[in-house]
Amino acid sequence: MWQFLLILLGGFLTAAGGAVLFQVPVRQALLCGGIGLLSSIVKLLADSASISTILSTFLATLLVSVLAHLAARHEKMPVTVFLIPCIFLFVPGAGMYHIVYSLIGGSSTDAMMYFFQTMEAAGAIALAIFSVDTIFRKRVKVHTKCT
Amino acid sequence: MDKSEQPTDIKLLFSVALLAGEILLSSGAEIYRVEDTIGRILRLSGFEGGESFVTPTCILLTLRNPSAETLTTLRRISVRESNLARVAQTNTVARDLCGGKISLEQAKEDLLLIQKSKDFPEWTTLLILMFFPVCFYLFFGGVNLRACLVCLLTGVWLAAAKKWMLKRSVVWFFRDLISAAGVAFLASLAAYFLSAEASANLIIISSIMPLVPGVAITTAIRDILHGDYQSGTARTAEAFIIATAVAVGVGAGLFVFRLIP
Repeated sequence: MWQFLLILLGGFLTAAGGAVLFQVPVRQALLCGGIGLLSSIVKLLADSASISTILSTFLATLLVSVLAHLAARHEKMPVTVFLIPCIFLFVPGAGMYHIVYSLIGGSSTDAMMYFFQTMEAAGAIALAIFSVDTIFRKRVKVHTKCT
Repeated sequence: MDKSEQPTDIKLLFSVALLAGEILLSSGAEIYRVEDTIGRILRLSGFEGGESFVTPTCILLTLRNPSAETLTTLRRISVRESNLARVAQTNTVARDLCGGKISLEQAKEDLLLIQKSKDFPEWTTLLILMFFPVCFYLFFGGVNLRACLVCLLTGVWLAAAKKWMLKRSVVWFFRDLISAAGVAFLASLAAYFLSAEASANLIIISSIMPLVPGVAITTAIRDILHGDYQSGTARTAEAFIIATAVAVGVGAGLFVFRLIP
């Protein structure tokens, strides 16, 4: 239970802190933190349901993208403001580390395995952003007929 | 609009469009947003031939004026950083301008203000960077208190290295490489002395997260989705190069640590 709460706290703090590093104003940074928190819940639930990391990354980033688009609508700001700090949580940094670690350890088979895992995770993130962007883009065209 | 006034107005409009594009691109906006904003502002002129071509490093825009000569400018963007507040503010100004809420002069003034606007003070970002590894460590499910201390140490290194290297204007590739190398070395060493070797891997992973190319990946994906393949592939390459720098750095740090008997 404690660990659960700590993970959620970590999700909130990293997204909000990352937002401030990218100079997002405080109010929107807190929103980013909220998105980070919700998406870490999804990641936790998905991981505890013992599905693959790729799928849980996909689900979490899917939620991040949807919430980022909604927040952008609500705050009348570009989606990037919310998307960049929150996607940061799910970038496969661990995979990169494992690739190098196995290379140094002299095991190139492990390195190849981690390489493909990392690429798959990046692909999952791309797919999530792609699909949500496409859904929301259709709606944008209807709404904004600026000059 | 008076006919005789038009030329000056068009020039002002053109410079506002260029300025907006420049701020957006140098603050890390996606290509389609830059082109869209410039296009919308140029369309205010009422002429058909307003076009822009934007890559991650330059803006090319042109406006065909049927009654006078065609205006064309190329602006090279050398400094690029992620400043999402500027992207948002510029977006608001452009929207207000298109919606007729503010005049061209007002828009230009606002944009110049945005360009000069202050960021968060440096100590804030450095402080956040210091605690960033700890936050990531918690997010990745770490619970070891001593490992948290090691994360704090690597965070201090990250912040110090950033401040020092920005002052010396080290090339960004080596900035990431040196930061990552220091992180890997310090984390292994401190984990050894605090007997937290079991979490050394997790500590290093948490500490390199601020360095991984999250921005480049996200923007690359969105550029490709909007059909800007040129900048999409350019940013993908950027992501790979940053990843390589971080990976080589981590490798170097670990290697040096292993040399110590």
